[in-house]
Amino acid sequence: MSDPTQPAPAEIQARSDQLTHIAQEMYKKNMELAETNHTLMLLRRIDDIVLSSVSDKGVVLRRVAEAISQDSDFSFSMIYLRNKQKRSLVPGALVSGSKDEKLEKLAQTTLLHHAVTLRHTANPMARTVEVPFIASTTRLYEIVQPNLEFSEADELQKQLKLEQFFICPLIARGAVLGTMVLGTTLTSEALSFYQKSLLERLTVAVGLALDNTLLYTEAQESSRRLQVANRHLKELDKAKDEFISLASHQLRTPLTSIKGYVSMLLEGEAGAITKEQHEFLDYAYRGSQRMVSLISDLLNVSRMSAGKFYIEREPLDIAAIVEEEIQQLQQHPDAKKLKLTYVAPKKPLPLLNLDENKTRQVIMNLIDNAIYYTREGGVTVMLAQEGQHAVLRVSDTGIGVPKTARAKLFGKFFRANNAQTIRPDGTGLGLFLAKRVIEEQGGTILFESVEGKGSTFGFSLPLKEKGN
Amino acid sequence: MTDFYENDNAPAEVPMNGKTILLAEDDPFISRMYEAKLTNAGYHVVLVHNGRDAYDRIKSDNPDLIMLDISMPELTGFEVIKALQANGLEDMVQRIMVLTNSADPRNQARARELNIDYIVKADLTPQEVLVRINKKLQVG
Repeated sequence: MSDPTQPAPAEIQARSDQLTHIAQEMYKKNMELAETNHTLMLLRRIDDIVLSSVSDKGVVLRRVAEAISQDSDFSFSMIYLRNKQKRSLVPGALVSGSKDEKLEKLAQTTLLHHAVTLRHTANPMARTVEVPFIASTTRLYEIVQPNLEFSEADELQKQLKLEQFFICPLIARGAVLGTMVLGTTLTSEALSFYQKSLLERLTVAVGLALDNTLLYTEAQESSRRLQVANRHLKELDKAKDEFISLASHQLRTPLTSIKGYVSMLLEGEAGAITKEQHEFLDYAYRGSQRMVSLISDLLNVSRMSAGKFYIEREPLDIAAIVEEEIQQLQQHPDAKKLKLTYVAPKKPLPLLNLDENKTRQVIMNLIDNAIYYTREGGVTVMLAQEGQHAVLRVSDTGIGVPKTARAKLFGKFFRANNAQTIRPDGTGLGLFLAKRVIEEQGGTILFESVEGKGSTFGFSLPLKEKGN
Repeated sequence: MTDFYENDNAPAEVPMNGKTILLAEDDPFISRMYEAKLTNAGYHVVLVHNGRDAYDRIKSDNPDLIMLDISMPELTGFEVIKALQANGLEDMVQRIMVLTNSADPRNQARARELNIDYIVKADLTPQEVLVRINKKLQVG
């Protein structure tokens, strides 16, 4: 009696077959996965070797060869590097895969001894450089010819029990960098599809590994060269600084005498002088004074371009400096024709932390410019506290700055056309340095002008340094 | 305004003020220049032209003020200062006024550390230097 809930025996058989088939498929898939996994692990291992901090390319290649030998069926792994100048392949690394140390050593000395010249096209290693496809052979002799006798090569192959060799061109960024020979104890028939595909993937991976290693070595070499060049530049820079220092010292010394003696004559230190003598000596004095400023400016510009422009701060009474500079500039014959007015702050300003020499130079430059570029009318110097800032304004009724010149006014060596006419010997460094000095001290340069009517130049400096 | 250059009394006959200034300066023109200026102003000036002599004369002459150049033969100005410090002559160090034409910013920083006046010679006229000296010595 048949149970209608039970399937017929034929059906059972069919289902069983189906299950067996599925099981087989699953097993196969599993094996595939295991193989893929294995491949990926090996590729990962090669990546790790390349990414490790080892920089010696011999060591890197040796580790790559070891990894392939240990983790794949290609127990024999040999890498040769291309030498473009010598048109040859030179030995890089070899792992024979033999457990016998003596045999391993023999393989090392025999197979890593000779370079393979690219002209010897009978050797497939040489050929793969010209025709970069994976080639194979069953004879070790083929890849070691003509450096090794057939009998010697054959004997070694037998001892290593190798059946097949694959000659793989190592390519990166379109160039053949070397050749890798992978040998296996399996016959061609026994090699699986995965092993063959692994061969291709290894070829790519080792090519990239080699490329990275070579780049790294190259980068190290460049970096070393750069270090040498850098050291050389530093020495040159130091020599330049020393030269400028020395030249400045040498220039200032005779200039001290010229300026000093002339000033003494002017002051009547050596007896009375006529009005005309006074006038002439005054010109000489002003010339020498200009040269002193010029040397200072040049020194500062040179320090700036060398990144050695330092601000040396000390507590300073800025009003006193402004007054001193005005007093000095009042002696200026050009100033005598003008109305020079000083408007002092309503209440005394607190001491400011500033670089005295550089700030003094800026103040002097601003007032001096105003006097120089004003033919008639007056110059007003006004110092005031505005909020948390000390503000200096030097206003004149001079030639003014043309609109077209404004953008470049504070640039190095820049001179406006109308300024050039009045003062052909100006250097174009005064305002450039003024801006830099004021900004380095946390302040801002003030400037407004109407061409033909006059200008106001000045600065605003914070009463308190930022961060204090 | 009186035009001072028409003053017939120049050079001024100023009585000696009893103060001695040691001037250490190897450039003969600059040395003579300051000597004239200071002597005319009533100072007694002792001249030396190298660092070794500067040290010796500071020790023996006990000057009221020392005008010290940096770049000098035998001993540099800073070496003179070091020698003074090493020999317990700190009070002399405080009488120093550095006068130099050096363009090395480190020198200025060094002088500041020692709390010593630092003057770039080319920046000032002898008259301006005299004003600084008078102020330091509270003369005039």
